Amino acid sequence: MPAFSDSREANLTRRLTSAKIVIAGGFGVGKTTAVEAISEIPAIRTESWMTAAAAQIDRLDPGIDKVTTTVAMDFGRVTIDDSLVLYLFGTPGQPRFWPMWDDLVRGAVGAVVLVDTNNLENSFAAVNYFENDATVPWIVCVNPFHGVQTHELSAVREALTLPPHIPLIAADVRDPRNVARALLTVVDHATERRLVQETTTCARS
Amino acid sequence: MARRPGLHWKVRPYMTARGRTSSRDPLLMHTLVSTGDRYDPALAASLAPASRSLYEQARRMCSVAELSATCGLPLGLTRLLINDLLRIGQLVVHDTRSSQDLALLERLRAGLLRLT
Repeated sequence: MPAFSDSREANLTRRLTSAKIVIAGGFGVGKTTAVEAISEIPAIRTESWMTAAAAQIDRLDPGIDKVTTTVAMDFGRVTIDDSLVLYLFGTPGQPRFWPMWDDLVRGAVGAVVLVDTNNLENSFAAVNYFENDATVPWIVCVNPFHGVQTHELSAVREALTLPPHIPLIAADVRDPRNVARALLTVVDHATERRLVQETTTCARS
Repeated sequence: MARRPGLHWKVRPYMTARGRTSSRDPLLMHTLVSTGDRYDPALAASLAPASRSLYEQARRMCSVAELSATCGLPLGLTRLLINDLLRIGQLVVHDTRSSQDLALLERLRAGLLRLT
């Protein structure tokens, strides 16, 4: 019954929905690594979106062996179920690309801000952005490079002056299960916030 | 001589966009689009190279960001050309769910839990 299966497939396709979670953070903090770890397609890098003038060479701390960087941004895809696809977008790390962040964040379920404890100030700007300039739910994830976590989470919270309601976790983003856990934390935080909003709306009416 | 699809490196995006710089309804980067049930080879042949390559790629449903990347077109231009194809009913948008919809969040939760 080829006709039947064709139309059934078409119906499934029509029902398909997508969602988006943004992976943010400073330059060289592991955003691309996180996207690549969990994506079922090779992370798509989109240099072609930027003009040649913006594609300058960036320097990184010699402590990290990363010679290339995300010039614009990259994204990956995770199939959640037969009709839901989750897209992950790594933000461009360099400050000059910030106008793109609003565009990236629009319509997102939430965001993960990655921080490297050896270079906390590298992610200050990203934390500030989500605290002051965005309305999406967000969490902070400490990426312990080489699997060693050198700082206590409470110290990180204090150093970043994170509000108490913002979830803070530690996860080695080279491991896909850890990335899934970080994304799950975003979804749980978004759900919680949504439920609080609904309760507040009910109480008011 | 047969023209290759995509933009010639000497053709600036504003030429293809015929001077327009923004579209009326901005499509989100993860919005899913496709040619729907029908694909019209005659229409494909009549389109300008950049639009044709978008239309061909959209035979398999994908996001605006994927279309932009696979066709090698800047995101803004991709949105404009997709909007043109939507207006003449040759592409369809699949994605309408709010990102803070509780049912959607619950499905995400179940799917991600399986991956942890």
